[in-house]
Amino acid sequence: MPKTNKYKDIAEVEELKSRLAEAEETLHAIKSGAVDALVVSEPNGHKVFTLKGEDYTYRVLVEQMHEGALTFTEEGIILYANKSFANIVQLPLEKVIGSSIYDFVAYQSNNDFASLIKNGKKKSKGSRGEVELKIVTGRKLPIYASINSLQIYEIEAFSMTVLDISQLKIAKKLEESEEKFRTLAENIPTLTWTANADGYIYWYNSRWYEYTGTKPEQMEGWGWQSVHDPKVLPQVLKKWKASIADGESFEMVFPLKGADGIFRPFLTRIIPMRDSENNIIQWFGTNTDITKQKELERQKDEFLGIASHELKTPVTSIKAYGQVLQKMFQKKGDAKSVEQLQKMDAQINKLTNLVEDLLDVTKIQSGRLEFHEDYFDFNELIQETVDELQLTTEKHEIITEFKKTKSIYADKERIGQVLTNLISNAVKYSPHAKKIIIKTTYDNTKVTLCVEDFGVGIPKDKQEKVFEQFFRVSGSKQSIFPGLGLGLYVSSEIIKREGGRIWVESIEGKGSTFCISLPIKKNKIEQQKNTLADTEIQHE
Amino acid sequence: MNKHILVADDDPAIVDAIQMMLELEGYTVDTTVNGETIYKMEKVYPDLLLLDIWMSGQDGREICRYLKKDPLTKKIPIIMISANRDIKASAEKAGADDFIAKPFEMHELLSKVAKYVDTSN
Repeated sequence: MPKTNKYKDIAEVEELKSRLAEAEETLHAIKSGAVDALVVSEPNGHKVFTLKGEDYTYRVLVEQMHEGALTFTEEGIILYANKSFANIVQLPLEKVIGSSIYDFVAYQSNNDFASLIKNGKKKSKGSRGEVELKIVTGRKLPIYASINSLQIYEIEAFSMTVLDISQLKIAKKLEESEEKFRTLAENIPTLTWTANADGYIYWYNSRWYEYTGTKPEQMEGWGWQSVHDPKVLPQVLKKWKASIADGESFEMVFPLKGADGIFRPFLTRIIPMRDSENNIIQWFGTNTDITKQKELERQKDEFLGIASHELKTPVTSIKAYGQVLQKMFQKKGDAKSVEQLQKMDAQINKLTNLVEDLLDVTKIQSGRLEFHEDYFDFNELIQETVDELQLTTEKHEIITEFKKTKSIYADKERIGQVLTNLISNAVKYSPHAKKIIIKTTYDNTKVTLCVEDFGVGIPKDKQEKVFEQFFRVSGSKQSIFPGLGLGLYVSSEIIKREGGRIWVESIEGKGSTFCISLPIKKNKIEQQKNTLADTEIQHE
Repeated sequence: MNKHILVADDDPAIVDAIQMMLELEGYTVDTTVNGETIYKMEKVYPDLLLLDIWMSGQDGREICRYLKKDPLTKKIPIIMISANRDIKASAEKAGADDFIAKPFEMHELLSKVAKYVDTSN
């Protein structure tokens, strides 16, 4: 046996001895519980990592830490992790150790994490930064990580501490949103404030103080009453207290006194803010100065009033000339000309109705719509209207199916206006149909009229809207159906004021049925007026 | 003798058309587009006055009140004409006998006129 081989053998024995000694030391340490033994598979086989006895105190410290702590190899294999880290990632400790740290890094944080590792290696002080972890549940968790590089058995490794900052983030977000709210509230022209659940106002934006010329100590709680009109204040208080009691949002127009002593109309809206258990935490209120809108509304009404008056003058003479002509042809026995002039007259009436609608809108809005009520025969009025409107259409046959009705007490002309509107709409929106059916029924308290057409119909979601101002059948067919979008609005206002009801049943593509019901007996319009006055109070 | 009707409206076309209507029915018609002339009426009074409520700045209700106060003219039936349908109350307050809204049906105007002309005198 060559000498060199003998030396090699000795070296080998020495090597084995040292390994054995190491293994014995490890076994002893494990037995005494002073150390964790870690077996990690590496490309070159298994490797055992141990924590030396003198590191025991550090280990206790690390175990007690609230923050997560771990060490991992360059490849990311977790060599050691404390319980806090296991809690953070919501896995048992034994599953954490030996797995890869990269399994816990959220996909979108991969780049940030890689640069933390890179910097941790380069800098002696290590690197710090926010990244997101991925929890088994799929949830993302924001953490603050601190990474240092270290050598374990000549192997490049990293230590990392992990701080769960999700609560901090929420708190910060809250703070940011509060900050955003304040910034917003301070920069809008609207007067803004917040109140406790019991209605005690604890904060106003500076616009409030600017407008009212008051000081915070004057306004706190219920001090706002001093800038209200004493005449209106009881109603405001009543409504606001009812809102607080019911938890319902509040909307009202009332005057507020400016620093200059002038009252201006404000639209006030107050909404409750609730917690997850639906309890009201606070109230959020805004007061918007609507002086300009009111002024513009007044100008619009004035303009519409003048415009419709001016339009009526030539319409009146055209209609009168037409009727004179008609009379002349009648005397001559020229039936054909009479018929044509009747058609012309029906068209003039249509024009008149459009002009009337404009004027009525202004009257409704300023509460100047007058009613001259008396008893009249409902069916007779319908028949008159049908006869007149039959002249406007050659395509449709307007069929009446009357039950005998009693006289009703209402404004005949206004009800006639509603009938004209409903029947002309039926004609207008059923260009390809041949008939329109008008039915009346009655019971002890009311008469009901329904106008049924077989036209385009109204989609379900639009059916309530048809009674709103300026609503028109929209979409591609709009061009086929011209109009101001006021007829049904005016009609519904008239019916409401007469104490009746108006509604529609419709199937898109099949047709619509518009119905009205009216009380037979004299009803109290005064009550209606009072409820109207309750929703909006104008300062005089 | 034909009944005599005075039509007062500041729009010449309306005055013209109403005149045609009434003459077709056999009435004798006088017209004016100026409210001032009504105040100056003397001796010859119409059997009925059709009076616009608003005549180029002149308030028809003022004219109406004036005529209804004067013993010489208070018996003249006055029908107010207005572009506003909601004038019943103010027409009554001014002392007018009736009112009609523009635009109106010819038969409606004629029946109102006949109602007052036939009972007067």
